[in-house]
Amino acid sequence: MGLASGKAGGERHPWIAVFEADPATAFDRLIRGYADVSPYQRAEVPDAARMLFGSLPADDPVRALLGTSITGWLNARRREPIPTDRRRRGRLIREISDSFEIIRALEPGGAAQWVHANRIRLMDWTSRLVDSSARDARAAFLLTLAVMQPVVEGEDLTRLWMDICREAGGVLPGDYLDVGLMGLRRLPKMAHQTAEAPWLAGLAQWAMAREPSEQQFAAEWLALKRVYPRQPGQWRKEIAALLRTRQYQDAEIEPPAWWACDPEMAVMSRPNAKLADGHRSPMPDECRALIDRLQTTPYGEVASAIDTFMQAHVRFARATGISHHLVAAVHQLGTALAKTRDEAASIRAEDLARLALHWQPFDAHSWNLWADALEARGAVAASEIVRREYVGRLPFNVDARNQLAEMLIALDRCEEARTLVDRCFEEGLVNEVVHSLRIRLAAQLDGIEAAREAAEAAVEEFADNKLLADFKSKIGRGENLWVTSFRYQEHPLAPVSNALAATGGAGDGMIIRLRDLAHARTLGERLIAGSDATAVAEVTALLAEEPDFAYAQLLAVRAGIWAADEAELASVPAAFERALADEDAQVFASLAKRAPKLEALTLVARALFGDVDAQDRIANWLSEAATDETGPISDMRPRLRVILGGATDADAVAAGLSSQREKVLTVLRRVNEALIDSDLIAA
Amino acid sequence: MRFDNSTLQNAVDELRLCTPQEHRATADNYVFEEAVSAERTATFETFVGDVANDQALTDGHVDYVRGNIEIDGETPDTFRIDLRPSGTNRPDEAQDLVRVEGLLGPLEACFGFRASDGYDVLLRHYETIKKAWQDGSHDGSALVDKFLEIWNARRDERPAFSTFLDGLREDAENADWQHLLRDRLGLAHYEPRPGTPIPVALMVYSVREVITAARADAVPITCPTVLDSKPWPYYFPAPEVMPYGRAMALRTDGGEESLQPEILHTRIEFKRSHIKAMALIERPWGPKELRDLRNHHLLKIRLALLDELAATGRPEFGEDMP
Repeated sequence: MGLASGKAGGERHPWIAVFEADPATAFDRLIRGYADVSPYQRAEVPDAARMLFGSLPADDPVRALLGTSITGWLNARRREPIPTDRRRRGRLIREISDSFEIIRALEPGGAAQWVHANRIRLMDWTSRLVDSSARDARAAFLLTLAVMQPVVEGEDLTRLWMDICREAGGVLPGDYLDVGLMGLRRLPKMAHQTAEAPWLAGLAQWAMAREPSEQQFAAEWLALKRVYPRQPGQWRKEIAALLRTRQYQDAEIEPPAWWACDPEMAVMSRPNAKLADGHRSPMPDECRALIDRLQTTPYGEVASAIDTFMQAHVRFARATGISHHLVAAVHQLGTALAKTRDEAASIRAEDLARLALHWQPFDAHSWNLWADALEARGAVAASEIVRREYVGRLPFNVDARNQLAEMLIALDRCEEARTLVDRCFEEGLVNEVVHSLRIRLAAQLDGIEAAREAAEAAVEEFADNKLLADFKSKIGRGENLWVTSFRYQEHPLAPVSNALAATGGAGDGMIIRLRDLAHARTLGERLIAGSDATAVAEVTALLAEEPDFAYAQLLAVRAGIWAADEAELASVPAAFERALADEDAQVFASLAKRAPKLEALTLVARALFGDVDAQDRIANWLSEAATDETGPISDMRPRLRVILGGATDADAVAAGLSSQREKVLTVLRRVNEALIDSDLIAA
Repeated sequence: MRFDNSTLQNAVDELRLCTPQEHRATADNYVFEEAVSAERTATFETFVGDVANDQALTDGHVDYVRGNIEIDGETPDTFRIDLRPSGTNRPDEAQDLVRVEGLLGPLEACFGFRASDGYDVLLRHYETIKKAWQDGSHDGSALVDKFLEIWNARRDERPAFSTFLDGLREDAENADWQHLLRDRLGLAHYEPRPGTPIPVALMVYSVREVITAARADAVPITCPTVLDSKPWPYYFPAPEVMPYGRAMALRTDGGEESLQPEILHTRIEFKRSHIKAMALIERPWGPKELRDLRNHHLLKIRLALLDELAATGRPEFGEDMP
């Protein structure tokens, strides 16, 4: 209290002087409702902020102060435990939501960029701050992220918004459709694309996933149609172009489909209706032509044609939500670019790989392309980090592990490569290449007898493999085996002894983030092997530095230093890790509610710990074909089939889980960890 | 009202001695209040606990409002039967209630624009929703329904101040209703800064709709008290003998007949049919000293008490602000 009313005229409100004197304290008091901002005390805090700051010039330093105050305040809240008491949590959610609303409304200096740059952390954090539609910090955050897109030079968020549209009314509350559509409506404009194309696709993706009633669809469509004045003919053209793409045709969805609720669109079903052609992605021939040009022409001369080609792919993905054409083109074109070993071309290949991973975060080829492209321009440490992330992200992908092992050999770090290969055998992830690596490493590190033993085991398992047979013959003749692969013999790598500690080539923020993840994974492995005081100290430091980092929380649980009363509200991966340690079926059930996408993961855990109903459901799940599960969850199914020896009835599943308990636990841990920050690239 | 906890009462007394008019007014609101039950006072005192000074009192009051009144998924203390709210006589269910709602936040959430986009953009979106509401077309109605859906989703269970339409029908039907009602109902926070108009809607709905929508454990309509919203110098308690509260106007030109009964009611879901008008508040209110507003309001209350038989012989209500 203590300020006279500042209502007169156009001068600054007297509270602004209080704010300038101590911005952090003043903002804290404003957002908590204590500030004396007469006559605005009764207004909602964002409305009061609009009145206090809204009339200040855009370049007024007070606006920048507001930006740093809000982000500082939000950062401080992120580091605090979330109250378990419903009312205290409700108040916190309200104040956090109000902060996001102020950022959205007033765009104070730097705050929008901060929201975009920290979106993964903010998403994870706010996902724990959802009590009801009136107390939903995640929706407030996402709406701010959506509305701020035009003013931040950030990554394209189309896939995030499309996912939200698809999941609204499913995994996410129904009113998230408005958030997803707002994200698509506020995408930065793109040449040769109408403003409505992305949100029409979002609406169609939602309708395809949720099968709304005619009335429900009309409520969404007509409200949007009203604010995009177009001739009916133009709408029909756009809708036909969308629905005549292959995804909808394959699903036997014909124009006007859901739009039949609108008489102006329903005419598309008439027999004589002339419908526009479907959106078309660039053809494979166009990609081939660019690759051919790269073989004869310097990259610089092809660069703009590549830009145009990829823009057409992005346009198609934005207008349809379908990304596999784009990803396929990236595989081909990116590989050709990296092969040139031209620095600029390699950087372009990296960008393409990241673009593909934005759309499909668990695409193995794109991870590999990214690592190859980094390697091609000599960014070896960064390449190793990406390869490690590839292994962590796709834990059952043998190729990912093999490629990392080959790289480590080329870096003269054969012991590390052998640890990796041994782990493949321990986890039953073995193919011909893993055998080849074991033979070569045995010859290199242990001598000819060890190599002979490895070769005999390999040939016994893969009798028809020519390379393995060749190894066996050479060993028999006493010949030396090569250890470095031909690829690295041809293009040797500059030595890097420890990529996780290296900074060279890791100037990119994303690579630095992946390095932190790799470091966390390594710490996790050390803790599984046995608690050591140094590892626990490192976890303590990591948690102090980034208390809301899901991996830090998981490691804290694994190290036994997570506070018991916060377990319920820890991030999903940390809560899962704790439930695994406690064998707590109830926690798994509540986690499935909190993160329905992980239902299969929690079900396997419950089955492992003796839940008969879960064993029954897992038996069915194992015999079903994969649906639209998230990457590692989808990969878990064939992996478990192998581990459980093809069991398909509940009794056999129960017996298999019991006898293979350790292997199943490893699978569960790997999948859980693979999902941490899994939208790092995508969102 | 007087607090049993001496630290709270001392803080009120301290606040009353402070120089700024707002402090004195805030303290007077505790002192003049007659409609808070003993149970409610005890709940407030337990929540706030001991306080060291007047700021701790007002901060604690804010905490109480945010923790027990402006909440979601539960019944606020205002409507809890066990806390014996005042003024629970039910008015005729066919009567219409009126409320002025600010639209800035809902408009921004619905249309995804920023205050920094400027007045023109705000105006454009405001006109879009207004036109959609006025033309009543199929897609216009769909847009208004979507707007209301987004708005309703953001609203919690906090008590809503409202008043009876018949008492201010003339003002409500005036072309300048937004400023007249703002001033008459004491909505001092609808105070636009230069270049920042405040879009508002006139919402009208029946007592019956409020009662039907109320939670089973709630008294749907009560008399406002000092504890039902944050410390607020533009609130003025009404004597307990008067049914309901009396909104303090932001002008000093009316007699006691202009006093407007004011109630608090439980949450209702807004519908298209509840919107009776939309307009922009562009003019500031006043300029009037808070002291003049309060003293004039008190005079009107005292005059009105002369007509209340039940008030005969009671001590004089309130005290002029020096």
